[in-house]
Amino acid sequence: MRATRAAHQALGLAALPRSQQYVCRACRAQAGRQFHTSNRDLAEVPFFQRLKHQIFGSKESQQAEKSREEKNKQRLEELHKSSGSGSGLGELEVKTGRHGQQYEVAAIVDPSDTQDYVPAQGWDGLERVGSEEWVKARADQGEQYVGFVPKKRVELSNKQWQMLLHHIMVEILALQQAGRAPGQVCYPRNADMYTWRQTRKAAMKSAMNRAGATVSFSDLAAEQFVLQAIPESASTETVQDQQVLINEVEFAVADADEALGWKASSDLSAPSWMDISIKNPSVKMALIKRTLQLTGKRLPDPAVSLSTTLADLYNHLQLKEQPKKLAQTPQMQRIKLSAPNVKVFTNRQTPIHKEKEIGRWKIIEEELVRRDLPVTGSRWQGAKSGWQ
Amino acid sequence: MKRIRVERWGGQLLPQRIPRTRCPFSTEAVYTPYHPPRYQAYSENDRLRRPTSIARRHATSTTHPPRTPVPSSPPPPASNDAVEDVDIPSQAPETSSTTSPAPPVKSAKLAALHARLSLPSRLPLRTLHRCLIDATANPHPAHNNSSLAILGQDLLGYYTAEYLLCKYPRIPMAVLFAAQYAYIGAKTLNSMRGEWGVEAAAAPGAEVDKGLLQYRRQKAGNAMAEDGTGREKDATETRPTGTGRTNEQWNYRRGISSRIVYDDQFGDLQNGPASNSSSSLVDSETPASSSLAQRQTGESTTLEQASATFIHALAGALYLHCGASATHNFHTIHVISRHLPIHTLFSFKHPTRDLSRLCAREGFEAPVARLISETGRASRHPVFVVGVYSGQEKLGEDAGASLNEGRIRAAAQALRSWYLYSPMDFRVPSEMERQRGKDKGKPKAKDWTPVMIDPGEIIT
Repeated sequence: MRATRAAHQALGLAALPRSQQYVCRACRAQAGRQFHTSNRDLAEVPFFQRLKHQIFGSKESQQAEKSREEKNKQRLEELHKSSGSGSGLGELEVKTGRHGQQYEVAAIVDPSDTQDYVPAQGWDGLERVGSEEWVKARADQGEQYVGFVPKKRVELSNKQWQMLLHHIMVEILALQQAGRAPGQVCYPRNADMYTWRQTRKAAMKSAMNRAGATVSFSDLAAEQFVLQAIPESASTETVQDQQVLINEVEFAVADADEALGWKASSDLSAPSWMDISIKNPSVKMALIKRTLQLTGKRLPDPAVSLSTTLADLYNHLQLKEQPKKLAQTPQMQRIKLSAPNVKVFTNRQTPIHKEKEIGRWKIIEEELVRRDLPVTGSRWQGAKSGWQ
Repeated sequence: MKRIRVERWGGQLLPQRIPRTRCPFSTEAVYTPYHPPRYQAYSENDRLRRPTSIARRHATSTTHPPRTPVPSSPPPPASNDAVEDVDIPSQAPETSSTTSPAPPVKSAKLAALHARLSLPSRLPLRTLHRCLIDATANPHPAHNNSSLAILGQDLLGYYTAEYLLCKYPRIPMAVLFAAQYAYIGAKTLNSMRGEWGVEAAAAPGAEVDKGLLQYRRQKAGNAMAEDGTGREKDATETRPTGTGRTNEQWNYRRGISSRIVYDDQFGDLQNGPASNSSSSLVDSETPASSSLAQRQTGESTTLEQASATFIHALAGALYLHCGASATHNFHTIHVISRHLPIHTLFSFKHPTRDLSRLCAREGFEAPVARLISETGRASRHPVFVVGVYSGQEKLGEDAGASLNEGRIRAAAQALRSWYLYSPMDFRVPSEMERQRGKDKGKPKAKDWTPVMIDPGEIIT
C-alpha cells in the first residue's frame, strides 16, 4: 500500500507538469522504475506459462468457452420453441439502447437447421459494408443534406465583384423597402425567376434620413417581379439547387467588361454608388450571407465588423495588386521612413554591388579590360556546363 | 578692436540660400543663384584644371562662379585673392533658373553615423557627406571638405591649446606641442575615425556609398617606383617647400622659438605650395611621384591625413550650423575625454641643473638631494629612494638603481611636478564667448578672472 502510494506520488511528480517544483534525483529514478507498461498482474505469471496459456488455452478460457456454448445452446432451444409456435425469422426484436437509440437484435441461426445454405463463391450480390459512401450515408442517417456554402469557390474580378454586390444590394434594399426581412434574400428560389435584368437597371441612392438607402427600379413591374422572385418563407423540405445559384452569379456578372460606366469603376477605389451605409445589422447579415451563399467567399470578422459602408466591404473583397518583390510591400516601405539606417534592396546584392559601394569596381573592371579578361562570368566554353 | 565674426565669414562655405524674392518695381537685374553642379567622379580632365591653392590657410574663395550673365548683379561677397585661383571645371551642367532643391542624400551609413555621434539635427546629412569628401577625391571647393577643414582645424587647435594652457599654466613649449599632437594630431584623429566606425572607400566616385570617407590613395612606400629600379620610399625625398621659413633651403636647426613663429600648432613644418624663390634651388631630380610632392599638389593623400581633414571639417561644419557651444561640446566629448598621461611627454637632459636654476629664479633655497631610504646596497639590484629638498620642503622624490640615478630621477620628478602644476578650478577664455552667446542682454554670470601666466620654462 505504501509502495503504491509512493509510486503514485513519484509518477505524479514526474508525469504531471508542476511549475518550479524541485524533484530530487532519487525520486525521479524511483518514478522511472515505478512506471509500468504492462499489466501488473501478468508480471506474476511466468513468461512461458503465459505463452502456453495463449496457445493452448488456460483453465479460465476453457471454462469461459464452455459457458458460452451452454448459453448458445439455451438460446437455440428457445429459438426452436419459439419457431415451433411459428414466429419465424421475419420479426426481429427491437430494443432501446443506453442513449435511446433503437436497434434490432440480431437473429440467431442454428447451422444444423439450415440445409439450403450455400457458401458464396464470389462477392456478387453480397452486401457491401464499410466504404466511404456507406459511412456517409449512415452518418446522415438517410437525410439528404446540402451545405449552405457552395462546394466550389467562385473567383471574380474586381468589376464582377462590383456588379454582384450591386445585384445583391438592390435585392436587399428592395426587400427592406417593401417591409420584408432582408434575410429572405437567401431563401431557395425557382429556376425561372432570375432577377438580374431588373436589378441591373436599378439605381441606388444613399439617403441621409433615417430610412437609409433607397433603390429605384426602372418601373414598378420590375420591382414587383423582384419581390415575387424572392420567396417569403423557406420550408425545411425545399432544397437549394446549386445550379440555380451558379447561374445567378453568372447572370449577375455577365458582360462585366462592357458594364455601364457609372456602375463599374476601373481603378482600385470603390465607385461612388457604394457609399451606402450597411450599419443595419440585418442588412449587413443578409449581404454577407448572400455573398457567402453565391460565391463561397468568407470575410474575416474584423473586416466585417469594421465596415460601415458597402465600399468598405468591397475594398476587402477586391483583389489587390500583390507586390512582386518584398521590398515593394508597405511594411518595407515604412522601414525606409522609420529607420533611416536600414537599407532595403529590391535585388539580390552580389559581390559586384559590394565592390561598387566602396568604389573599387571601376578599378577592377578597368584592369580586367586592360588585360583582356572577362569582366563577369568566364569565357571558357565549358564553364556553364556544370560539374559532376 | 572689433571681434572677428568667424560665423559671418564661414557662411560662404555653406551652400547658398535661396535669395529673397525680387521687388516688382526694382530696376536691378535678376540675380540667379548659383546651383553647385552634381558630384562627378574625379576624372583625368579635372586634374588639369583643378585649383592650385587648396591648402592655403587664409580665407577661402566663395562658391559663386564667374559666369553670372548679368553684370549689374550684386557682387559676390568677399572674394579675395583666391578668385583667380579657383577654376571651376567646365563640365558643370547648365542649371535652370528654377530654385529646385538638391535631391536628398540617402545613405544608411551616413544616417547611422549622424545618430551614432549624436550630432545635432541642425547639421544636415548633406554637410556631413561633404565632410567625408577629401580634396583629392573632388577638387571642387564647394563639394569637398577642405574649406570646412581649415575652419575646424583652427577651432580644434584653439580649444585644445587653451585647455592645455589653462590647465597646466607652466607647461613647457615642447611638451605643449607634444600634448597638442597627442590630442588632435593626425594619428589621434585617425584612430578617432576608426573608433567612430567611419570606413574609407577604396576609390572615390559618385557611386560610392555616401557614408564612406572618400580620398585618393597615395602609392604605398613599399611599391615599386615608376622607373622600376627601386621603391617609392627610397626615391629622393623632396625638401619640404613653402614652410614659410626664409632659410628653408639650408639645413638649419629648428629651435622652439622658430617653431613657435613659423611652424604649425604641433611644431611641425607647414606644407605649402612651392614658392618661386625656392624652386630653382631645389634638387632637379626630384621625382614627381614622391609622397610629399603628391600631398602638396593635392593628387593623393594618406588615410591619416584624410581622417584628420574629415574630423576638422566636421568641427567646422558644426560651428557653422550649430554654433560655438556645440563645437566646444564636441571638442570636450571627443578630444579632451581622451586619456593622455602627460607626464610621460617630458624628457630632461640635465634635470639637476634645471632644478637648481629654477630654485634660484624662484628664490627658493638651493636644492639638496637626500637619501630617504635604501635597500639592497650590496646586492645586484639596489633601490635608493632619493628626495630633493629645498630647505625643509621636499620638491620631489624618486627611486633609482644607484645614488646618482636616484638623485637625477628625483630632480626630474621635481621639475615635472613644477611644470604640471594645475589650479583646482580653471576656466578657459572661450567660455566667455559662449556665455555671451547664450544669454544676450542678460548680465554676465561670471566675470573673467585672469588665468595664471608663468614666467616660462627653464632654458639651459
